[in-house]
Amino acid sequence: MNTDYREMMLRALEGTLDPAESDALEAALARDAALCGEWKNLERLQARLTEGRAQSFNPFFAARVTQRIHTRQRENLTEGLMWIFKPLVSAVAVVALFIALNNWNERASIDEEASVLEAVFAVEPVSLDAAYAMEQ
Amino acid sequence: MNMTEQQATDRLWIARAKEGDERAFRELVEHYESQIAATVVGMLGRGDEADDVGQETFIRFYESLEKFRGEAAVGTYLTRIAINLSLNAIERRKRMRWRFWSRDDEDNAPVEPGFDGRDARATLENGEEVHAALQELKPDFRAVVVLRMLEGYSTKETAELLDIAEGTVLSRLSRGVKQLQGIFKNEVDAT
Repeated sequence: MNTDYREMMLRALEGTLDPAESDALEAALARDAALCGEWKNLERLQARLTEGRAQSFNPFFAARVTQRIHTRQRENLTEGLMWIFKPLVSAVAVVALFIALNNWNERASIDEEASVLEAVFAVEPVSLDAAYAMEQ
Repeated sequence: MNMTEQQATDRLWIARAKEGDERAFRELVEHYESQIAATVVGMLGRGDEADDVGQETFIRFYESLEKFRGEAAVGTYLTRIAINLSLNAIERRKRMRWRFWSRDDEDNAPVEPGFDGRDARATLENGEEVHAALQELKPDFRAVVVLRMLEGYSTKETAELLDIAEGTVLSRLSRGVKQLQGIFKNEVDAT
């Protein structure tokens, strides 16, 4: 029985008892001092919790939220670009390797003395002989 | 401002925020900060973690603005996000503590950080006392107590927010209340 009244008291706090339940609870509180004590304790606890309820976060909360939204948007943009370009990286690497090998082959047939870097990147030789050759 | 006026204002703020009006979204944040602070600080206690979860609540809302149809009140929608993020944060805390806990000490399983004892309690303000006492409740009970007694949601609304039966809300509330009364009683006895 007391369990029912406890449940009724919890519902009385939120104001959802119908008139018949309300009357029954009131009568029970009038005749049972222990139950009445419980009800007072419950009201005290409710008041204490309401009074101690947090009202805000740390200062400048709204400004910090909007700042973080901006940061998140920038990060999302970067991630989006990464997502788009990541698959292209391996394709670009294959093409670059192909061009390098091609340069190497062609250079080898033109100038046997070209260094590896000059050959791979198809850079004009910078030796004195090459410079004289370019002058002529 | 009554409920209908508030809903109309919310709709206006949301429409403007969707069009990229940052000030409108800020107005929303400022308006609902206290409600979300009550939920998150009630669940996690004061500190950087609560502040972080509070920010994340509004960011999630901002990111879902396009999907928000207004079926639920903004406050309820935000509270649902806040309570879920808070429960996730509690779960994360628990995992972190277990990770750093020596296997030899399994009998002394870590509990959530709450009050260290009565001496510490005596120096706290009522708000801090309330939040520290709430930290001693199990997260499931705490969520019910916070929503019902701090936020003022009805049993039905609390059940919907937490996706549990109304009977479960009442039984968790009853046990949570009993535990809180015990904590505060000890505190009175100690002074």
